[in-house]
Amino acid sequence: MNWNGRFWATALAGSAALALTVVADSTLSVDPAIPAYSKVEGIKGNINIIGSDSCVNLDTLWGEGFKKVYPEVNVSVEGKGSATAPPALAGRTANVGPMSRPMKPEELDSVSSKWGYQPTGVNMAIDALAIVVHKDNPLQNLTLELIDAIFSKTRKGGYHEDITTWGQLGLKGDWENKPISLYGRNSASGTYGYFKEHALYKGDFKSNVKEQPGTAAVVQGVAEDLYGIGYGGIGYLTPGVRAVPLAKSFGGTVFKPTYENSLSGKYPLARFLILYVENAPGKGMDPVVREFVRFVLSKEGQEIVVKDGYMPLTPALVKKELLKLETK
Amino acid sequence: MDGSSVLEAPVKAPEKPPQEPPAAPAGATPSPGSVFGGEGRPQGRAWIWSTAAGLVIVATMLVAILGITLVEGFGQFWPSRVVRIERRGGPPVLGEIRDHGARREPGRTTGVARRLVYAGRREANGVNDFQWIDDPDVLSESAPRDAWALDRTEYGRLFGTFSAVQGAASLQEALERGSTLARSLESVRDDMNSTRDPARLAALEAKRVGLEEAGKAIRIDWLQADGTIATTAAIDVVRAWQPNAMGLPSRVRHYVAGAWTFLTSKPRESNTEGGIFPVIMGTLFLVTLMTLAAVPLGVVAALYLNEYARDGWVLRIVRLSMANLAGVPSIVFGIFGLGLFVYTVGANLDRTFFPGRGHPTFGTGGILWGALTLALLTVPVVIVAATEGLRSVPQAFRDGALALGATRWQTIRHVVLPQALPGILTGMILAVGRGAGEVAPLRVLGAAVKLAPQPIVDSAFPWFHLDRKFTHLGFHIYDVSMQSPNVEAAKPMTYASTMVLLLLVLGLNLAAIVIRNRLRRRFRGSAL
Repeated sequence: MNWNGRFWATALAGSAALALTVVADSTLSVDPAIPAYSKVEGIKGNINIIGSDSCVNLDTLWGEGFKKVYPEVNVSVEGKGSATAPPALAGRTANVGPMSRPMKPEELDSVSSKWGYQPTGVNMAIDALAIVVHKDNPLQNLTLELIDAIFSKTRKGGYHEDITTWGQLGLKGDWENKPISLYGRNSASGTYGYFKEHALYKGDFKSNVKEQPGTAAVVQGVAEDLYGIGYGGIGYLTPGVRAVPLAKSFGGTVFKPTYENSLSGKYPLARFLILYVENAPGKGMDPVVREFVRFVLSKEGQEIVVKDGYMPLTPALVKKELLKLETK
Repeated sequence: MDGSSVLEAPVKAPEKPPQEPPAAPAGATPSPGSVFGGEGRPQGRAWIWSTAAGLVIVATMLVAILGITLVEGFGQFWPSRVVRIERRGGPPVLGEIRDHGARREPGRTTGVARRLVYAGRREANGVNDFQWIDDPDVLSESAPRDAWALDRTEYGRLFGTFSAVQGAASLQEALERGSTLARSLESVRDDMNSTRDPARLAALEAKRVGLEEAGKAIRIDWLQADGTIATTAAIDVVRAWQPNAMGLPSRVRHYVAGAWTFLTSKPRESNTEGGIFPVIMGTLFLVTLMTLAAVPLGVVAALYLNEYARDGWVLRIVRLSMANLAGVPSIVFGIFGLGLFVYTVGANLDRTFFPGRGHPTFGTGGILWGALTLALLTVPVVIVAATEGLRSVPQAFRDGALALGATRWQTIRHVVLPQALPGILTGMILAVGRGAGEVAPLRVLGAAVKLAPQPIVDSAFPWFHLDRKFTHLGFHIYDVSMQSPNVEAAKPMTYASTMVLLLLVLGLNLAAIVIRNRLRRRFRGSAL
């Protein structure tokens, strides 16, 4: 019964040598083909941002940058989780709703029942959801099935046994009997939802996952806990933790959460971070919101994405997103 | 079993006076007396020890919390040494050593020692702005006297040695002109934010562009540890210092200036750098508003309960409810405030006074709703404390005043209230202490935010904006510790903010205690 698991664990450990030779990423840079932001006359008003906690620093940095260009505009930022964006948009408490996952159909309905039309989702950055372990943990790679067996009690990924110790992941010596300590996000978080959908195959989390109020707290927890494992946006990594390369399934190739692998979709947990805004049919967008989104999609805005540790859009993607800002 | 039950009798009733030892049944062997008290010498030494142990635990925890916060918090502004590390397997690094540690392995207590080096320059180093370097990899470590450390507006610190300057005659002049330009730019931006006049706005905009151009023209080159050159615009330099060449007096000056900037400037870089001025102001306004709402209400309620209400089962139930209300978790008040103030009162205010605005004004969390919710939370505390204060006024004072022909209200106003003032102030202290530290209800209300759009008080009519969202110290600490993009870089901010919150609450409490003691002394003199 245990043989199958041991086999894969050994096979995974074997591919470790390959992963070790990969050099650390050089710093990302924004493609020079993305045009710089050009200021527009007569912009005033408020930008109220409510939504994802993964994006909260990005929002604040954009707000600070936008205010440098338009000192007369006021920006407020509140990040309690992606699930707080749709109600805030529907009630017009916010005019920009950042989310780390696409809106669910019922969320879209809840907004369009108030507005009469659906919100527009603009992709603003790329995030690779990283699986992090303590920096001294020798674990080389994982597959989605194994992640599912580590974090989920339902194991919809089909792995044959529950994984509770590091030995079950192929670690030897003193690591073998050490229990895995799980860190995760709270349920208002889009990262929680995304992880549940893509890494747990829509299954349920184990009850012993230590739910943290922010991704920085997950990272901090794992950095202090030698036997810890957690997940979070790549923008939150610190030198205390290490991101584990992933394969989609057993036998597949292992990929690190790099820019190239996220763009090509080879890294299995890459996603877009999305800004939801109001683009009323026939009326167009509120100018201040439109300019804010244009700023986000400009060279300056994308440089901020890199500064916060996330990955910038390509010129082609920016062009595609800018089309969404035109009046329908 | 039956023999020991005699010995244990005093354990179950330690309050029994030692003069009356339980009578030993005939035939029982005399005991030398246990630590819990025996039949011969019921000393109860263990009980004294356990109380002492309890005190030690409490005192240790207090000292630990205060000590760690104060040491780490106050230590943030001290200029630390900049070291140059030549190492195996990588280019040399110039930076500050932020932490020491050891490689960890299961089953072992020690490992290879290593240090956490802060090299700054996130624009070039990316996530490697903080890096762990193992001790065996270190070839040499030195502290070059000509090394500079720079606080910049963006991307963290820069470490390097001065190389060249453009647009100014000397480094000194470049730095001075840079900071003058930065100050002017800041004030132009503030003016642009508060003005509504289009002509003035256009003039300010032209000035802003001019200042930015002038700022970009002065540039400073810094030689990096790996031999490359990094260039900064002088206007982006917040502060520059040479930590390794500084003597004690200049270190102290640097420290004081750093602490002052922290308290008086705005946050930068998504709250991980800069100061916390708006955060302190937000907290102070919130606590003041809360006190203005909670204390009068609480005192009036306590007066009625104690002076007018007829004693009976109704009063007893009300008192019991008050005492219980004081212990209700704050999150419950948060939800209640959200339902009552934001969704009901606020939404109706918006419908009545601001129809057709599209976006909510009072129908969303603002400082007023935050303060009122915290007031609800603290009113029971005030009532309970004020009632105690009123009860401590001797009945004879009231009887005396009434006998002299004073009305009931005159008695309360001139005799009872002044005497009960110390008790009422105690209630206020407790309320302020609890209110200042509460974060959960503010988060539920959506009143405390990460980035507040405008200050609560400004030059725009009506000057005091009760509908605005604000930043709050407690929330700020939560935010920088749980939601910072670079937790390592945010640690100084966390400690320093925590220290400010602690000192703020301590200061408020101290002020109230001083006032209370003065009043007590005054009344002790006048009452008799």
